[in-house]
Amino acid sequence: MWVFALRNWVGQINPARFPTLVFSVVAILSSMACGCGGSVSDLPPLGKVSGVVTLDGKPLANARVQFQPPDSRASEGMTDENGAYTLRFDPKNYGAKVGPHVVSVTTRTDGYAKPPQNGQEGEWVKGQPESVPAKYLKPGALTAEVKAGSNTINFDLKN
Amino acid sequence: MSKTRASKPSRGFTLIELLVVIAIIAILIALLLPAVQQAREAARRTQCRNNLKQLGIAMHNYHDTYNTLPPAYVQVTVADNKGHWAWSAFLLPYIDQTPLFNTLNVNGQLPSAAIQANLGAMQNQLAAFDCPSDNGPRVHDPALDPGYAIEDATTTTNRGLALSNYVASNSTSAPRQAGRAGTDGTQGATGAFFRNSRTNFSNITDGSSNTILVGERAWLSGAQRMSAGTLYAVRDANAGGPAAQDVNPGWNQGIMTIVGTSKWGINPVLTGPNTETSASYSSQHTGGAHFLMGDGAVKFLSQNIFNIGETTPPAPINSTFEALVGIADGFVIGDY
Repeated sequence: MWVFALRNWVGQINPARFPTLVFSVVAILSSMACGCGGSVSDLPPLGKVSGVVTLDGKPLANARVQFQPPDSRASEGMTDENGAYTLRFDPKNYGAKVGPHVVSVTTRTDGYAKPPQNGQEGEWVKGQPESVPAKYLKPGALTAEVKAGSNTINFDLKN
Repeated sequence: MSKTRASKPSRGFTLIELLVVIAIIAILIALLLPAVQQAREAARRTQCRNNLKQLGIAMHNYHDTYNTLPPAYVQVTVADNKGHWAWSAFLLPYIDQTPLFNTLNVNGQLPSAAIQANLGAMQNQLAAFDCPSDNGPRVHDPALDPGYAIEDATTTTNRGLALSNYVASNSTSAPRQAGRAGTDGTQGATGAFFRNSRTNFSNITDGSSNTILVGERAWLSGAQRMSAGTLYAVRDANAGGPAAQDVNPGWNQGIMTIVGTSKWGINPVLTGPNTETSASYSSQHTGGAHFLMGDGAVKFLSQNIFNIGETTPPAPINSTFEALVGIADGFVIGDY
């Protein structure tokens, strides 16, 4: 029976070497697991990007900053009250594709209806107007080069 | 020592032998478990593909009957917050749901009357519109997403609509009521579905195999609520039809609950629930989402597909994903 054959084989191994044996079995199996698991990803190389957007020296809050590479999806970030933004490539990855980008900054948003409260219909909230000067809204007016690693890219807009 | 053991095999195992066997079995199970989980997700993905395939066959059968694809919604003048019938209601007879179609009386009454008379039927989420990978609720909560609900015909009670994981293809820019005016997404919807749309396959000059009809939208994108879409009906805003970029702009209600846009790409980064970005496509499948093409094929598009979503006008069709949405843009699509 194979169990007794295995038992004979195990019995011939020097007991002092058991830890080494168990360790090597674990190492081999786990390396196999690494080979099988994980799906193929077409994620491009990314560089982390953050910075500050100012308009006439003052921080520009609630602006949507978009980095558009010439051959992939765009990365986006929103500025906080200090004008600081951090780009996100997708829900799981921060940064932007390494390479050249066309950058757009906009503060314009649409209106929306507030959720109803106490059974009353929520009021209609008007959208935010554009506060970025028109010359920066033309495609290609702002550009940036993202390098591998961390990038700090600031935009000083002027009226 | 070992010789003695080998010559006189005792019945039974030593502790170390047992431990080795148990360890090996444990490792094998640990190897198997992730594979089982992946097989489960693969099965859910297949089910989702099949749902879209069925919708594709339904679209073609509808086209055979009326020589047009169903409209995104039918525009009639109704009061603020009442409903308009959406494309999913018109497809019901073609996905073996004729009794539901007759119960809702889609041809004879408006959705607000139907939801008042038949709340259960209107809030019934059909499996055909439910991606099993997505863990959203079956019905929208009007307290959470008031824009994904419609009022009763004669009262102002807000009723949540059933959840749909599939939205029709509207445009390459923010969702619009008005139809195509050239290939600029800021002039009109560039996709196949919009207000009273009567797109037929001869209008899809880019070729039906290169044009998206329906895509996925999940309850969550990342960790943020994206709210998926609505089934059967869409909410009116200020008696002007569903809110859209061109009429009563709003980003937590309106046409975006039944149609999608390529503007922000697949699986966008959401800064919160109910933002304009919620009008995009998304899924819980890793790395992209399923799309139904005009020829009935279902394709899985990577979220890293080339897409330019212009933040300010003009918004020409100049990227792969936009070209797949546009029905007559003439953009040559390479490999994707």
